[in-house]
Amino acid sequence: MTLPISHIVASIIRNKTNLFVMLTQIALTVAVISNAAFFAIDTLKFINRDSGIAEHSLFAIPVSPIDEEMNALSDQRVLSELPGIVSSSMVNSIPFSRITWNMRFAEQAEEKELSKSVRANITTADEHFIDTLGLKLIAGRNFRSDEVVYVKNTSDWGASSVTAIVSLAFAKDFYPESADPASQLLGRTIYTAKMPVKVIGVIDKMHGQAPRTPFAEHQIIFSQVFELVSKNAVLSGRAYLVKVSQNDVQSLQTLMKGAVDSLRDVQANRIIKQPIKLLDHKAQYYSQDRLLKNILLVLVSALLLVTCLGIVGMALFNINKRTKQIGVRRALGASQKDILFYFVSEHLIIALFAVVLGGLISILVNYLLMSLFAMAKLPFDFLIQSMIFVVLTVVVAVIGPAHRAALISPATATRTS
Amino acid sequence: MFFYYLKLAYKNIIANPVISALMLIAIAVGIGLSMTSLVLHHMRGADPIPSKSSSLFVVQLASHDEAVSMGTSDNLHNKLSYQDAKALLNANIASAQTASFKASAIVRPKDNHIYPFQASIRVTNKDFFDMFNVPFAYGSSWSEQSEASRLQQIVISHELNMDLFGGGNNIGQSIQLDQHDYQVVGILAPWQPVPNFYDVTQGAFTKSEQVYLPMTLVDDMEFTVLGNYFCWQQGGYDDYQDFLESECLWWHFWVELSTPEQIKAYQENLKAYISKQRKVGRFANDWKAYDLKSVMDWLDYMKVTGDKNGILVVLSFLFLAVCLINTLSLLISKFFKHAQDCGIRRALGASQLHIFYQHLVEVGLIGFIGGLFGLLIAYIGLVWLRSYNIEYELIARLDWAMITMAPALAIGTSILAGLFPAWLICRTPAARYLKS
Repeated sequence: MTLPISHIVASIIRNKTNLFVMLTQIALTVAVISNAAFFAIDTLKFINRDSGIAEHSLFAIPVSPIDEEMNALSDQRVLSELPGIVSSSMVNSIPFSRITWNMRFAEQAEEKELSKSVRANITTADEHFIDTLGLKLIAGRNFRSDEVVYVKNTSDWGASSVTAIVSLAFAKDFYPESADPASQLLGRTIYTAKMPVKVIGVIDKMHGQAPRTPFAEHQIIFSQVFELVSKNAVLSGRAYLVKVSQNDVQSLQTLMKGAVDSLRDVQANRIIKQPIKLLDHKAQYYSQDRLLKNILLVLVSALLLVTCLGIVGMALFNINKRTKQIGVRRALGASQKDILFYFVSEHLIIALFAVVLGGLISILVNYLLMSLFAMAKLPFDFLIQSMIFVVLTVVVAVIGPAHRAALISPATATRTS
Repeated sequence: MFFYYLKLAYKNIIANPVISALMLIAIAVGIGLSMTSLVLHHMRGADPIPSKSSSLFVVQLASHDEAVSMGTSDNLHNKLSYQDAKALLNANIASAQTASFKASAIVRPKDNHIYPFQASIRVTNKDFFDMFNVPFAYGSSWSEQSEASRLQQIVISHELNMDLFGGGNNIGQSIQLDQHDYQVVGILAPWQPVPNFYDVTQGAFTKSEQVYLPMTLVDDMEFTVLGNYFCWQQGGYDDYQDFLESECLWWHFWVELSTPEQIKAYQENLKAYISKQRKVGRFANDWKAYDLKSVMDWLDYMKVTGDKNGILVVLSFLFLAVCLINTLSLLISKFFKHAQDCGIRRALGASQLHIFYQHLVEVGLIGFIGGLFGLLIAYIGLVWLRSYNIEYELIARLDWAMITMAPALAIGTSILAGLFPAWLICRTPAARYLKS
């Protein structure tokens, strides 16, 4: 025997308080879960988007000379002799370091008009940079070793001629109308203030020091290595980026310690800071976003827990209240399955109404968050998924109590109270 | 009566362990999570210097040309050039004023076991300490005379004092910064404004500097700016002297003005200064080329209170709402389980109001206990947050306002949730439960 749905609906409507409370609770759950989960996933995607860099096999050792200049080539020779280390490159600043050195580049020297210049983050490096970071060269070529300028004193700095590799995003903004901006930029000399820079290569993508800034993917790499003692802010983040072989990723910690020790052997009197894995460095850079994502996930799971517990509590209460009726139905021939079916369908019907209501509230909440803060629009399919998910959660939560109801013996009907 | 009701409430809670536990969990989790996100929001938007926040002002000047865009709402930059900073200091109109920027230097400890390291420096004038209520453990700021005669004197932070000397009174000791020796004249007590309002350009929640030294030394020592400076004129500069005289913007400038008259007088002074400068070709624009912003306006302008935290607060309070509705539904079930007791009490002469009151006391007690657990959850949450980064290490802390707020919020909201169930139960006719 199965009860027609209309009977179940009639019984739901009779218990108005119960209905109202459950509707509100499930609807608000949908509103919070859809928005929070969407925001968390959105944040996660933002953190994990491709940076163009093979981060997992890299670490950085921040160094800066204090009394006499460094010798990058002999440092790198020593590093390359260490087992497990594939290559290294000397940079002015580590990716994901927050502080950026950025300038505007234009076709003409000393371009005054802002619209004719494009901003880019600057990294200075040697010919090992592309390989060490695992960047993808899509046009032109890498630096030749004779193009890399080793700047040993201030006068060298201004005098050196610079070749550069740029990111595709920069090329696209430099020639917005061009069909093939990479080839158009290749081989050209562009200017920042009066300094000429010859573009010899284009890479697919590289996140620089501050990938959260608007021009994050505008990257330009100068063929320069700064060995001089300098307090210039743009050199304050100088470091060796070191790539380890695939098999040695596990033992990074030991490798890093060994690398620092050998650098100290080459030149003790300089500042060598604590080395750091690039993945950790990136995690620190995104720590706020990661935190936000984690809090949101905690919020979503706590809410699911609370809602489940609430539904279990309510269902148990309802079943207690109706113990006698259930006994009567059982005595009149309803099977255990029928009772189970009855309670599950009752809650399923309420949940279906509630999530539709919840969907509307979700859109309202999302709209509120969009107008107050910089929240993205909640996609419709994500909302539908959250609604289905909440319905399933409610059904799962109610199975336990419904099963208990099914076990009520027909004999209960004969007892009073 | 209240204590009798408390006793009844306690008995009822014990009598229904499952339902009571479910309610406690709901309230505790709801309060815990919303407190955690509220603390983040509260601390981000907190007034870092309540006693002075309305009398301290940032001075902004538009010394740049018409065509230059600063990317701010009023097209003013957040820092000043050296020439403007110096001119305003020399005018000496405000009761106190300070210009400063962040630099760094290499410290070579006398103890050979410590490798040389980089220390952060704030280059400023002596007013800095009084204006921002910076506490001294030993000594004091350098004097105006030593500032004028460019003596190499410094004030160091509590932390640096610990690192270099292991703490204690080390006034008169010398410290080598880069190639020069400086004499310690003051040692600070631990000091960390949150947010670090006097310079938020490198993150509002960074640690305050390790060394403070007189700005009159910039010409001799040629300190480089660590972090942000902005040069809107193309062409650059040739040497440090050139940089000092350039239009580059790198000085944070604060004034202390306590009365409206002082503010007005200071604005007049700025206007006069600007029109004088326009005659020599600077400030080539025709808008209001200055602004004074108080501490809180400044933090708002620099977008220190994060947007995303707002989203979190809204979502977590919605979450709290779900927890309360959940509590409400559980309360209804719980109260009706004891409807018979109520029937007897009513029959013995308790009024509806008494029943209502009794149930609210019960709800309040559950709320209070839930709130305490919530506080514990919030505390664990904040400890977890602090491990994330330096920023949260500084802001993820419970203050007394928050500690008292959690149980109050818990009791308040659960009583709110309890109103309806209590009303339902007190209106139930007594006779119905006395029959069987």
